[in-house]
Amino acid sequence: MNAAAGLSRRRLLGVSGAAGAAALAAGCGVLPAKVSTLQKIALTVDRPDVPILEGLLRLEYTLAYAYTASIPRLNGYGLQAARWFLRQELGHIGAVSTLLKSGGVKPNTSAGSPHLGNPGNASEVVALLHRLETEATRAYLEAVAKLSNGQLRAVASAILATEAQHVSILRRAQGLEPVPSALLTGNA
Amino acid sequence: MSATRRDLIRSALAGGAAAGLGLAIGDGTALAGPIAPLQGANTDGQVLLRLMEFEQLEIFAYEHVERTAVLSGEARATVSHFLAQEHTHAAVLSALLTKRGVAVPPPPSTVSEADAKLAALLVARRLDEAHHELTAMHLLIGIETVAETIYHLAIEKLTGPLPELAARILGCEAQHWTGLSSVLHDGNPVLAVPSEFAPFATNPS
Repeated sequence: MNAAAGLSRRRLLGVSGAAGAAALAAGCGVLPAKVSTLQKIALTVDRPDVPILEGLLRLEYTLAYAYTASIPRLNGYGLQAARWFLRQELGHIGAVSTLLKSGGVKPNTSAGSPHLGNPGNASEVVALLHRLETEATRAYLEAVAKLSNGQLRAVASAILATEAQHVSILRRAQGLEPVPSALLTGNA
Repeated sequence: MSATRRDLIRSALAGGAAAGLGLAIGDGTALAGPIAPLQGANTDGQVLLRLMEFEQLEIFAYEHVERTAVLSGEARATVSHFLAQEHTHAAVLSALLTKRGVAVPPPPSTVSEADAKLAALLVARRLDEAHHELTAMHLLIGIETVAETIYHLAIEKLTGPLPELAARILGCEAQHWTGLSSVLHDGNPVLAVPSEFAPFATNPS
């Protein structure tokens, strides 16, 4: 399944923030729906890549859902981080959705009803977000190992690096060492 | 810090100046075009060699800053911690090169040699200017920006289990970027994670 030539990967990454904002609408109702500006990307998505990307998309929706649900329960530093990171997760949703479309697959547009537990206070909410972001880094590491071509691996790694940065900030918010390991492990 | 990483990368890849921060054309010695740190590296061994050369440059820079710059307690602890992690990256790469029979390159031996390498990578700040915390942190942020770019490009080229290893190091380098920014801005998440993609600009080719 070859994607139609059109936008370069750089442009994909550059403009998908806007596309991602639209993509979450059906899942969380955070933002008004609009048509994605990303219809073509110059990447190749082979059939074995599709379930990997679908798994990543589910994770991104879960993250966006969790941030959305968390915002009313946070304040101060945690609130500032959650608002900003939600925006970035929307960008990831847009990018992964666009990859799936380029592979001829209609991407899922819903977070479903993820079970996030019942954090009792703001600290527990931050701990939950930290756990989810850590799971996301682990999933992206696994994806990098499995995706069929270098360009897809590069896109996944660009998102992975940002999720790793989210982990750092959430660790800092909990008084933990922000960069605990020289090699990202995907473990809390 | 007024510029975001997005500005930095965009400026660096365009060959333009990014006032106040890491990447930009430096002193007439920098490349006029986009950085292409893996250009000509096609085999795993060649890519690993370039990564090793860059890790040695990073180590040299962190050691220089740790030894010579006037730093607060938080900044000094951060630099020392990240330096130890860069040594781990170099050790991992060194083992991989040795396994392939590739000789480990010598590290930079002088500040001027390291500064020339930084200029070639479009890092605007120079080691011999990094006397104070602000300039030192900006220099290291510029270097970590290049680290993100190099590992990102390497992930596309490497084969077998190596892309995952490179992604693990990329994740750490991206966290270093965030950590250095956090020192300057008290952990401000907007400044510490300025883009939803790291590095923002991906493949200059």
